[in-house]
Amino acid sequence: MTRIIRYLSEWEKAGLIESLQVQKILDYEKSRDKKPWILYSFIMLGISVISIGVVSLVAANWEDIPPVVKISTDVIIMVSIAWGIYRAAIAERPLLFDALTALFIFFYLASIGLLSQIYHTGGELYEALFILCAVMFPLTLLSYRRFIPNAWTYIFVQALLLFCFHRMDFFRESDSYFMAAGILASFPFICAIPGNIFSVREGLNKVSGPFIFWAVISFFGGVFFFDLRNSMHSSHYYSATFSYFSDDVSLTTYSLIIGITGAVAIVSLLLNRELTRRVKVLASALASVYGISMILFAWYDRYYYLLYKAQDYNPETRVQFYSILKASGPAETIFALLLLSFIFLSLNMEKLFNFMVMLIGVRFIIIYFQVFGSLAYTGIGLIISGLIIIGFVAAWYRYGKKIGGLLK
Amino acid sequence: MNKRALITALILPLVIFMALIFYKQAKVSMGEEVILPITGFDPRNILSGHYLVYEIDYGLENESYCSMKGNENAEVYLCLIKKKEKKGGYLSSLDSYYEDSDLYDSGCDAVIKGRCNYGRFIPDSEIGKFYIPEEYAHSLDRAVRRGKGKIVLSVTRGGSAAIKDLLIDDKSWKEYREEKK
Repeated sequence: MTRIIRYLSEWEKAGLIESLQVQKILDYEKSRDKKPWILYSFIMLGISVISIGVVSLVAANWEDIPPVVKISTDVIIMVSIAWGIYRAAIAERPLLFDALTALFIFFYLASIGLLSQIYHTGGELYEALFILCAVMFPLTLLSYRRFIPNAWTYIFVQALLLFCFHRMDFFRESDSYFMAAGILASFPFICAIPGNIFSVREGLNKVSGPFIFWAVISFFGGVFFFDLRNSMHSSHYYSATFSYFSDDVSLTTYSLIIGITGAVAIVSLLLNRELTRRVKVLASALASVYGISMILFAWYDRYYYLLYKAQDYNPETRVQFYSILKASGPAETIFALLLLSFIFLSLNMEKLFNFMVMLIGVRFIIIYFQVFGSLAYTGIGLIISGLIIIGFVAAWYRYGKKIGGLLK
Repeated sequence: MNKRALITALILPLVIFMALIFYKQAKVSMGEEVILPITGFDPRNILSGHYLVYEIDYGLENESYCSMKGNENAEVYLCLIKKKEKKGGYLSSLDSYYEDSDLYDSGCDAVIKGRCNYGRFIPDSEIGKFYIPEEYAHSLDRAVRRGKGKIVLSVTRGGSAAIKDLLIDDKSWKEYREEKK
């Protein structure tokens, strides 16, 4: 509200609107009831806390209650909640509908836990979460506000993450490990694909936004992981990410997963009707940079490990290799952040654009501390980098409109 | 809101849940009962509470089919033959993956399907956890560690296994707990 008053006052002073219009807008804004949103948030918070309580209650394992009674009670409660959801929909009560749906989803999760407990089946948490996501997807699409789609997407992302971590830890079996590592590296693509595809249809677009959100978050995760892993390398250390496997282990599966999901993500961008052509081109470039970096990272990592293991290689080769590896981290981060800042600029998200520029600045400062080669080399490198940035910005100001026009 | 879509969205989770119950119950009810000794420890599951994790002693020789070269990840059947003497346990052997009916014909009383992993037999069915109330976790864990534990399985003809009960000193864990009170 404060921001609206400030803007209105500025526009009034500039003579763009009359004081009568200002008053009318203010009256309208004040009349809008904001309370349901606050109420909604607190009710959802309450439901979430209750649900955690239910899971804990089930996990307490009430051995004096016979299993038949436990399961019957569970089914009766579940059917009652489902009936409540149905009644809320018929009576057109959105708040009640969403609250009961949230309770239904969490109670279902607790019920899966109860079944595991009674039948002593040792399934993994991600399996329960995947089942939950599959059966609750239709109900999620019928929800009124954002909590349920956000929660559903979060559960799905968690399930996928847990699956990857589980497979990567499972006796470090190479095939399974590389498949999971590929999925983990492709996370931004895997999230961007449904995010773009679901944006096409009314109803499905409820989960589109949350998927795009996770695509951006996981992109940052991937970029920073890549950067840290490479730029923190010491010449006497090899990364463990792709080590511990026999020398003939192939990175083909890993690379194929990234390549295919990346290509599908770029194609799915074309379906997204909410983005301009310029954003699509920039996002495709960003996806390509990210995908190629992730594939190169694994090949470098593996090659470096093999070099390290061989011991009899040429020390000069090692130093050259090590320098390329170390410089690839910040180079990829800065380039990716630069592309992302242009995307935010094209979407008129000024604050996020400024934030990206600030992150690029921070990365340059970190380069100074990491020191590549000697202080003198680092200094020259930074000065050249600064000049390139200024030159780039100057060129953008001069030819930006032309480039923008070409992309439109 | 589309009424048909709403009803479908509500019935789908309930039907799947009921199907899960019937599937799990059928596995427990329809199989041959097999009792095997175990050793283990006690962690906690975020959804289902405390459980015992144990290693089942299948009674296999060290030089079993799985420990032979080239059999890593091979799909196998564990053949269990009841010993004739009372409380005699089982004679076990591993065989490569072929028709399970052949194994029954060759005298197996029960067969469990699984695969070789690092020279060990790993069953396909999830029979490595037994859920217990938090308050008894410590005492049951101790009893299992001391080698007093056995697991009661229900093994179907297809080689799938489900847990029926945990025995401590050859009694159901609930009886054992009552006696210890």
